[in-house]
Amino acid sequence: MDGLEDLKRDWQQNKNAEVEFSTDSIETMIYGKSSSIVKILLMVSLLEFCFWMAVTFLLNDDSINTAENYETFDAIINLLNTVNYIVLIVFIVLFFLNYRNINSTDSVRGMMQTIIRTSKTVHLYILYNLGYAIVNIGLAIYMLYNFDANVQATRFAMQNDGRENLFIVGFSGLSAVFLLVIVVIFWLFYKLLYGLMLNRLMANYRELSGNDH
Amino acid sequence: MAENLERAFVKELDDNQKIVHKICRLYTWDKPSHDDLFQEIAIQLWRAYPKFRGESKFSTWAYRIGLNTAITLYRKSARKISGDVRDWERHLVISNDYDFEIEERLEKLYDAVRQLNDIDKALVFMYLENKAYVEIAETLGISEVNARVKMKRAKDKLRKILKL
Repeated sequence: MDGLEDLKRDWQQNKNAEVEFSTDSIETMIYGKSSSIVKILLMVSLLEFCFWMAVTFLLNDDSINTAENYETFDAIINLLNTVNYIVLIVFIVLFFLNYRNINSTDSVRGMMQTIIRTSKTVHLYILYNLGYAIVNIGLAIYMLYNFDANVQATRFAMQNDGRENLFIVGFSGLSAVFLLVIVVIFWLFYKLLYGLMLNRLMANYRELSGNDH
Repeated sequence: MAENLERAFVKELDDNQKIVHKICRLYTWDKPSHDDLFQEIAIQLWRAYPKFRGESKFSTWAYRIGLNTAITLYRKSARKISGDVRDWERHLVISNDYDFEIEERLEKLYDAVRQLNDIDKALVFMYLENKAYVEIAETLGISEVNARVKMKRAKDKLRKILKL
């Protein structure tokens, strides 16, 4: 005799009364604060959008200052700005379209998929910003190297001393470190979004999707 | 109008509390967490209620949202290691008809199921509630074949924990 079947019978036939909430309690609790992961996902995602929006605009300001005297770069910067705005709007729209689809009446797997899809929108936006930042910084470094007065002064000074190679290495090294710091910051934000919040969800999703593809 | 909707919902949930409590009892380890999860499920049910058209029984509709909430939405605090079984006596209403033996066996069952992962908990819950595989597959969002495979595995794990 299967012990589980016996327990199932106990479960079905159990007539023991259990503590239940009063009608009043239920009436109050439905207006309580939700501690659902979706709410947190929304808040964190909006914060991420705002943060990276601010960062890219700050980066733009610097580039504009350096590019003031150089029409070609000005045109490029303006183009990048416009693209940036459009991309941001597209991502925000995509995010909300996905977010709206998150539904507790879906199947368990279905709901997980919409949540993951929604958070991927933010993830993609962060990646886009990474690419954008690298392009921007690359441009800034190039202009610094070729046009900045201070940099030129240092470069010629070191050239005269016969230490041109050291200058190139030093400059490249600093640039590389700077870029590395940027990438690490992006990685931290990515971890924040996926690691902390969606750990359990991802584990459950993988468990559920085990044999189905 | 809104008042009627709320009154209707509160009555439905009140009448069907038991099944939500079962889910909470399976997915949490202590009373505060149990109550927290119950509230979260109640909130999710209330939010989804305007779209509920009675295509299914309220209890069916409710347990599916309950499982979704427990598995996906609810933010768990750190899991308490399976501790004093008697901690749960707080949920019982002792009366003259009380069957202690069944209660003891069921508490062992709950304790064992709590040790399974979130998906297996859902599977075992639907097994105990005698749900058809069609419904189980639909609730989880997987194929019926996959549901049967996963159910067998979950039951095997459970038997092992219960030493059956």
